[in-house]
Amino acid sequence: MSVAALDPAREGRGDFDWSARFSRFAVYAVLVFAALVFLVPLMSMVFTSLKDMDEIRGGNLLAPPAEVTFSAWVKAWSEACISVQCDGLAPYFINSLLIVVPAVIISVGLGALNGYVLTMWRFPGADWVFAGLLFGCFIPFQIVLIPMARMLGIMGLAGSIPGVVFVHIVYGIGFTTLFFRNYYASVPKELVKAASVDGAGFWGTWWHILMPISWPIVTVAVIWQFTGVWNDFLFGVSFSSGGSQPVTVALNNLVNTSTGVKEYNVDMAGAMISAFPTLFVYVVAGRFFLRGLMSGAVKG
Amino acid sequence: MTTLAVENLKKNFGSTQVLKDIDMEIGTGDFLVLVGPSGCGKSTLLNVIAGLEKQTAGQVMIAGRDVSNLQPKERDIAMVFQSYALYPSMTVERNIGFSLEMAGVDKAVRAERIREVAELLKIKDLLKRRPSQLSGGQRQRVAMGRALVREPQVFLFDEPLSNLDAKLRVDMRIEIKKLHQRLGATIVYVTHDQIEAMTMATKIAVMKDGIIQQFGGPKDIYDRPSNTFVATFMGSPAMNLLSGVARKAGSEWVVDHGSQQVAVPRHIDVSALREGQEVLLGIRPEAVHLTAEVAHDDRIDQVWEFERVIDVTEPTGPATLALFEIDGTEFHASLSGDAVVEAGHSYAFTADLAKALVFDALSEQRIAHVDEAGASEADQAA
Ligand SMILES: Nc1ncnc2c1ncn2[C@@H]1O[C@H](COP(=O)(O)OP(=O)(O)OP(=O)(O)O)[C@@H](O)[C@H]1O
Ligand SMILES: [Mg+2]
Repeated sequence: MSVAALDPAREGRGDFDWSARFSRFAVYAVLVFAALVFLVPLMSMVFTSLKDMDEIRGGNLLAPPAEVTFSAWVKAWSEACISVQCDGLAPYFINSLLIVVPAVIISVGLGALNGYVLTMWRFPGADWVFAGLLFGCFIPFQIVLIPMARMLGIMGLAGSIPGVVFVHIVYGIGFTTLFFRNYYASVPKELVKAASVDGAGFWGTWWHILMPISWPIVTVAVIWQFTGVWNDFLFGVSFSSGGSQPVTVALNNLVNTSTGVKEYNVDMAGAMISAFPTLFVYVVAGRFFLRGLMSGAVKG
Repeated sequence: MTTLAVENLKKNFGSTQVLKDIDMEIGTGDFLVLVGPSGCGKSTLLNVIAGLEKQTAGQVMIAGRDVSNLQPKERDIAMVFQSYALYPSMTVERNIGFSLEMAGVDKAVRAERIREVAELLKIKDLLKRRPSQLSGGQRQRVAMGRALVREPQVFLFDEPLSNLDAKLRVDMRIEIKKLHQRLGATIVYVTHDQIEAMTMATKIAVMKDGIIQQFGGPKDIYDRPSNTFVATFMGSPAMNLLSGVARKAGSEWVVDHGSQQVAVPRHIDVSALREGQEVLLGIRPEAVHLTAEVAHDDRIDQVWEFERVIDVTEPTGPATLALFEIDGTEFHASLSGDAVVEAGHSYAFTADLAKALVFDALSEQRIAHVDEAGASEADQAA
């Protein structure tokens, strides 16, 4: 909707509508300003990461690099010293991948299954189970840190990647269940009845009938979980140790390393490397936001 | 041969009794229509037969087999849902073949069956499409195809035409009837529409509050409804019911309803009447004519003639409906389409009593006909 259309009474007047013009201009001005507020720091980051230290020390923070160099990126990726090791962010980046992939797949899968059971195969007390899961969504992370650390210790997962994965799955199930339950609640029950008459069982109905129409909500759940898990710092710093730390924790250590000079270009490159996967997921997953997947199931 | 039998079936949802002691039996090739007002339990009955809901008590037998505790897929039934419930992610082809796919039928055999069904339903050109790319009528056909492909013992239809527009509904009604005649399939069909019920059924079950009020052929149900509920439910406009008192005038019985007395038609078994009994005289709107239009040589020998001022007329094309009042009761007459009548004017009417019915006002049960005397109503219906 265009801004001018917000006030239909103004339209249709013969003379030139200065007031509509002005309000449109004002809105764009605000939007451009807001965009700049976000883009200028990003631009500064990109520029800084492409400069060498001499140029940074001598030049303007907002000026483009006089000479483009990728050495800071290379250093951040594979050479920078984090704590005592000097292998860059790469090993921690891989840790993060090892955490995020199973955590997202398992929590989204379980959420879909929960949503399916809670809507289509309702059992006595289903509402209480759902209420319990929902409640789990609202427990602040900080409260569970110590009990969770104890749990992981008992399970023998303390300080390991599987331990961090486990925590993320447990925390994610509440949200993913909520997403899928609400989505499946809008799916006609007759679809499931029809499948059951056609001979599809519990799993067959889920796999053949519901999953193919679940892509919009799978996308939402994956983006939500991926961003949450990848950007997590608290669980990572609490439940992992040394070699199993995720990239967010490593980035923090990289930036806070106090020895030697502060290499702003390496810090900036490292920050962007750490942020890149979430950006990637948004762009790729956004394509799966297909509309109207459910249309045609029931009458026009 | 009995294909479907339902015995002493009860279904409760919590403390609500939705089905109360349903008993019925239909043979191979029967087309049973379940009719009844909204909420009377038609869909519930169908779901219990399909195995989608578990009965509280009683049995469902299909082809001589007790299927009461079997899964839907093991019952040898197919169902067409009111909303069609086509699988949105699958092509028409896969929608139709899905049950065979689940049963592990060989791909080539499947394709052949799908082709046959598509030909039968004239949807061969639609096989590659998805449900969202189909019109309402086409979706309806696909939903039928999904049922037909299985060749089950019993087809269950839950108001399959109620989402279609009037014209398409009539077309599909005829097609379903043709299909039934051609395949000799056994069908249980739920509908709100009593025209559908009358035109398609070989057997009709009229339900109310979880009880079958009457079970019988369409003609039985229409001409000899067992009570006032069935009498007024089937037929549009509904049968007129005039309240009165049964009296014996000489050797003749009459229904005395205040201003007038109407002779009890000869086909009514008067031995069941008592002097002073409160009764309802049932006359269908189409049995009422303008006296001016009744030809003298007509063989209408039992008539009731009266004059009334018409309150409202409703020309429908083939008929003109006239509404007036008789002693405070609304009365409908379905006159010929050419009848020239105007609201506010008085006309002479002749009601043909050859098919008039008498009900006991208290029990609302119909007083038996002479030819039914002795024989019970149940035997008549069967
Ligand atoms: N799952 C359920 N839980 C509780 N009550 C139910 C349930 N399903 C149906 N009912 C009740 O059972 C009664 C019969 O419902 P049913 O759907 O069989 O009616 P129907 O005859 O098919 O009506 P309609 O013509 O409107 O489709 C209704 O009063 C309904 O509220
Ligand atoms: Mg229903």
